[in-house]
Amino acid sequence: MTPVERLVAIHEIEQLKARYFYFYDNKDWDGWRDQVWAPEGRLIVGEMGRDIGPRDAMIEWVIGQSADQVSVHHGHTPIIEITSDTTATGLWAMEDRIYRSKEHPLNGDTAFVLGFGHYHEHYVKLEAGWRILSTKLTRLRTQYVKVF
Amino acid sequence: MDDVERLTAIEAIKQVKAKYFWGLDHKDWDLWRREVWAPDGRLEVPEVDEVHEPLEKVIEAVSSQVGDQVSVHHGHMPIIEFTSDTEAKVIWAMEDRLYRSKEYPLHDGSHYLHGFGHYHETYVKLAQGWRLQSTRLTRLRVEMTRVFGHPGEKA
Repeated sequence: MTPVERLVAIHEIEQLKARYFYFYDNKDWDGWRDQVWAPEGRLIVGEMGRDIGPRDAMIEWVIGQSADQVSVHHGHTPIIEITSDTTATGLWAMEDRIYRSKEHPLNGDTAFVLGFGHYHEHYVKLEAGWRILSTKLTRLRTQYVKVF
Repeated sequence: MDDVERLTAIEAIKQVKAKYFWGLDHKDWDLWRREVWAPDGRLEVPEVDEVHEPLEKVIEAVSSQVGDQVSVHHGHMPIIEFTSDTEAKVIWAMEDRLYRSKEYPLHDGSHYLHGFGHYHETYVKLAQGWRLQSTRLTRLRVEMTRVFGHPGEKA
């Protein structure tokens, strides 16, 4: 891979993660399925004891989790390593806010979560372009707030 | 556009948005005029029913509204799509904080706004370089806080 090809790959992976956040926070699940994830994609959320795949089963679970909530996710300063012409790893700093209704709280009585951590990710380049193969969320700090 | 031209254009667009934030948070309207906006620039803020254009009207409206406020704007994770060699569509995730004085509250009487959303933008490449042509702000969440009491109100 030439330096230019590597820069193009890095940019495309950054675009991929931007779509991940945009589609997730706007609940555009078709966009999430078709423009973000590889068919065998896995989501690993240690704090919830979850390791879910492949993609379609995982998305079904995420849709159920995300119903009736507003979320805000921001990503920062990725460490991206291109490991071959068609594989790469990424480590993204993240901050998220989850707002729940009184009727649909988290963990029994939490209506607001403010969290900070990292996504540890693997990417694969398919014919359609770079896609997420797996993402594992680790946390530095999570604040659970009872609002109601 | 070859790969290097595209990467160069992407970097130029990111720089324009960085200067947009710097100019807004430092009230540097000359920077906005010189290095951020196209002359026919358009600013749309649906949450307060505002559309301003061209650029001089944008600056007139924004500079008069901000008054003595302190603002902090952060931008994240742009989705950049080129529609031609000289035009691009971009979506930026954003977070903003507005701090107002007791004498100069926000439109609903509050003094602190903490908001999250997206800018939906178009950029155009002019002779002087890439410039912001239009921006429309949509919100995921906005929190308004009243910090100071009002006359007749218990502290």
